[in-house]
Amino acid sequence: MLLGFLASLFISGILLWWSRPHNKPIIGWLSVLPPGLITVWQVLRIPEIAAGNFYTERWEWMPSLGLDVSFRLDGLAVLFGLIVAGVGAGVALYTHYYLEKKPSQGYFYLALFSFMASMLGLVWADNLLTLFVFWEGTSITSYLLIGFDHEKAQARTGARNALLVTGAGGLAMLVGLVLLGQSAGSYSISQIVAADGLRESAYYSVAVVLIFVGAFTKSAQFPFHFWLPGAMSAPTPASAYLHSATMVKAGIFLLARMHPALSDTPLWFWGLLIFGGITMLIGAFFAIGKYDIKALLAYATVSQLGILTMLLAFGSEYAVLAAVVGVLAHALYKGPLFLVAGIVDHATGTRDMSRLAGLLRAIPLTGLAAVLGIVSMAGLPPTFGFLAKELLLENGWEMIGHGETLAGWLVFGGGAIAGALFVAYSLTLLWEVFLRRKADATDAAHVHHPPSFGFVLAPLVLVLLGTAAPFLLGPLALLIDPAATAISNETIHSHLALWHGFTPVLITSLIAIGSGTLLFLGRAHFRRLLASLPKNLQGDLLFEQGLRGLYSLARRTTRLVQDHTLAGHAAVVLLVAVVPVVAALSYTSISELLPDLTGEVLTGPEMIMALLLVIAAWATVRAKSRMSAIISLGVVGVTVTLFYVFFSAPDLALTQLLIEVLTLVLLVLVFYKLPDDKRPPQGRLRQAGIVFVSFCAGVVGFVLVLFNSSEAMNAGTAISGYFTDNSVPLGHGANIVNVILVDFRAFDTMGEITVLAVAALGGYALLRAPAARLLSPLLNEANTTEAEEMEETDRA
Amino acid sequence: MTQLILALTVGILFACGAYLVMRRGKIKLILGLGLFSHGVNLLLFGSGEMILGKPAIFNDKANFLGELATRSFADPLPQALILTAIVISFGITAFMIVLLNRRDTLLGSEIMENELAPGYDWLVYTDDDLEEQRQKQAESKGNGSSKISGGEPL
Repeated sequence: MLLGFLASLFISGILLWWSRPHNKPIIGWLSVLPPGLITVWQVLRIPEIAAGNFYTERWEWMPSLGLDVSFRLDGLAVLFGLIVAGVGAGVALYTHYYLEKKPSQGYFYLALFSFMASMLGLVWADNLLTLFVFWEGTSITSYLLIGFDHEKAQARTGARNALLVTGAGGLAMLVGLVLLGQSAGSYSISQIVAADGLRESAYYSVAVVLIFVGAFTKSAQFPFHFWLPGAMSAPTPASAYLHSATMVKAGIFLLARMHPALSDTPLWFWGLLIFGGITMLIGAFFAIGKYDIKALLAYATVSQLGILTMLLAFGSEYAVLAAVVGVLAHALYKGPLFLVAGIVDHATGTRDMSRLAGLLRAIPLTGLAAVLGIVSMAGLPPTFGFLAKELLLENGWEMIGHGETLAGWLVFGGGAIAGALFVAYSLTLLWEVFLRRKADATDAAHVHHPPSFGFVLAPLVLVLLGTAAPFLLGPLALLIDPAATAISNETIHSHLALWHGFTPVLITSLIAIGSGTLLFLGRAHFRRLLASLPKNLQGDLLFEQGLRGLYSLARRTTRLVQDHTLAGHAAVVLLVAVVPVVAALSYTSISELLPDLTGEVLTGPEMIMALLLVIAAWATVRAKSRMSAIISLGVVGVTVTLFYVFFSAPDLALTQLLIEVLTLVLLVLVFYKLPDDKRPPQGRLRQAGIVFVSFCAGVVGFVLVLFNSSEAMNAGTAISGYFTDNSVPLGHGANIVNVILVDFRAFDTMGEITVLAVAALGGYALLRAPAARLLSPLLNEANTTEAEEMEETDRA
Repeated sequence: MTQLILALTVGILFACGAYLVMRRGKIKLILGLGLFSHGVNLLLFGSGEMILGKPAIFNDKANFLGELATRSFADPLPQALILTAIVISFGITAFMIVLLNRRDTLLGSEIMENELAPGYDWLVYTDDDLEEQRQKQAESKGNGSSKISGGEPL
């Protein structure tokens, strides 16, 4: 069923692509159906899941590796699944209006629906490796979506950075997941979560750090946060969907999934608390300095993700509930706000807040959605955002009450500061874009293209759901409680309420709202301060520099290894061959390899042949004329033939002799007439290098023969025994070498003949090729003028 | 003893072959490869026991079991491998000869060392070179337009 859903999403993506939806509004509405149906199906499952009956599905993929495609719909999976499918339905409709009449709209749908399938697979997965495959799927589709406007350099850079950061994090995470799976003895998430003793495993800390890297890169935590604002060059539906509501929460999801198995250690606690806290503060801080609506929302998202990461450091009921409510609330206000930003962009032609004003009056429906979303983002009562913030502060307060003062105050204080900053940038957005009468800039933008109803519908519905949620906490508990239970592994029955009486938490909350308002009033100073910060500390610039360094390192290594001379290439290859030989020598010693020489006499034909070979080889090297070099090579060949004759290899001797004659004839025919080389000799240093490399090659050959003939290497006899035993009974031949070639290893011989045939064909083609000028591009360029002249004369 | 002599010979063949491959000259590459392939063949040959005058051939097919029992003949497997190697190395040498000949007729001279065929400068990857190339391209863009405007018949 679930796999069928994923497949249907993918197929509907392809169908949407084929149907060319950009000029057919009906298809835009139809595209809501697949994610909408999945949402409805999941909603219908909620009561069962709340009762503890999880829906599972499992297919074996590669059982020997523990690789299954398995899904398990528990509270956490259905919470994220509803967000992915529900927001996805809205975004599908919105996309049709946003990419109005763009021919590439179909392609966007394909990428969007592929992403949706990957993301749903990720949150439903019950196997670490299944999860990883879908995780990478989201990275790739995200890359395609960010780079959708690939004519723009900014989109390309943003897409590349996002892919590199999340891709590298994903690979680190894979190692972590494998370590986790190996130490738990299972890759099934539900079994790992239920397993004991993972925290005592030797791989625990390595696995946790690697999983952190994966989660932090995906969820844009400090110091990897820079890719998320860069990803804002994606079309707005992708920003709203991937980079706010769903994909960036994949890291949070992973941490929440692993929470029961891995949490409650100092590494987990402080790692998440510190990085989440830093991300929360810098995200909120930088958001105020932005004039681009999408950039502001992007930094606000970074900050919110920091809060969620920080909350998962804890295991208390408040923290877990705050995380669950935070995820839900964020999807229901930030997603619509991004969609609104897209509508504003569409209607006025800009997202620059200094040029915008009074949009609430100009486009009231969009304005309504925006106001409701912003109030929730600011965490003002009585919104869902307010509830999430209250739970966060409550968690800190409770920790202080339980004597964990340091962590408690960090959360409480950090939460309060972040709360104030949230209020400040939310009010900035609300006032400057929607309420004030006159824009700052002189070239104020006006609404020239009011949005149609279908365009506004998706953000409006989502934001209304978010607004209604705090008043429907009773039914919502059916969704929230199982999710919280899945994170903490203890049954949680929430008693959420908007009003808790005048507690210290509420008072702090009110103080934060007050100071946020003050910050909003003094935002001009704040923006100037942020603009004066040094530019070279920005993450994306540092990343760019690192990338450039990597490129130049690669160029340098290439230049070192390949110096575009034949000698250079050959030297590198030969020197690399030295390495394994030296490594092998380190396991034995050369004296062990040397045969025992006592009592041996230096006689026999081999001495003479070896001397002849050495002299002829030396003569080939030192030959003054080309002819004498060719003849010396011939002498080497004939001596080798003699060698074969003496040492019982008549077939080899015959073949070698024939081949030697042929080679000699060919060499003389081709090279006798060619003019001499006129280039200067190689430099002294280069010659010395060549001699050194040749010496190394010689040593390699020497040692290899010794290895080859040593007792320890006598593996060959085992194989040749079969051939000698069976040559007559099976091959019916007396000459064993022949039988091997034409019978036992006939396919090898077939390959050998093929090589000869290919060489012959190639040689024939080269010899028959037409004159140089017509074929060779390099000569064409050099002789362009000549060729042109010739053509002209031809024409004449 | 035989093995040691073989090892020394193979070592010298390797060294001479490598030296020739790395030198410049019209046929030194081919000569070097030739020496190398002889060396490699002898290296393979050394993996079996070197036996004088006892080829791996049964004199009497009907009574081969008797000969098999003594196993006094040379190892046939390296020989089979070398036979293939000889033939293939000839194929490669022949192709190389034709290829070098072709290059010679095409270019009129040898390009093996530090000289790149015109139009193939982009094969060189160095930072400075790339920078230079960019400048050249920028210049040639300017020149190109002027060439077109200047070269057109008025």
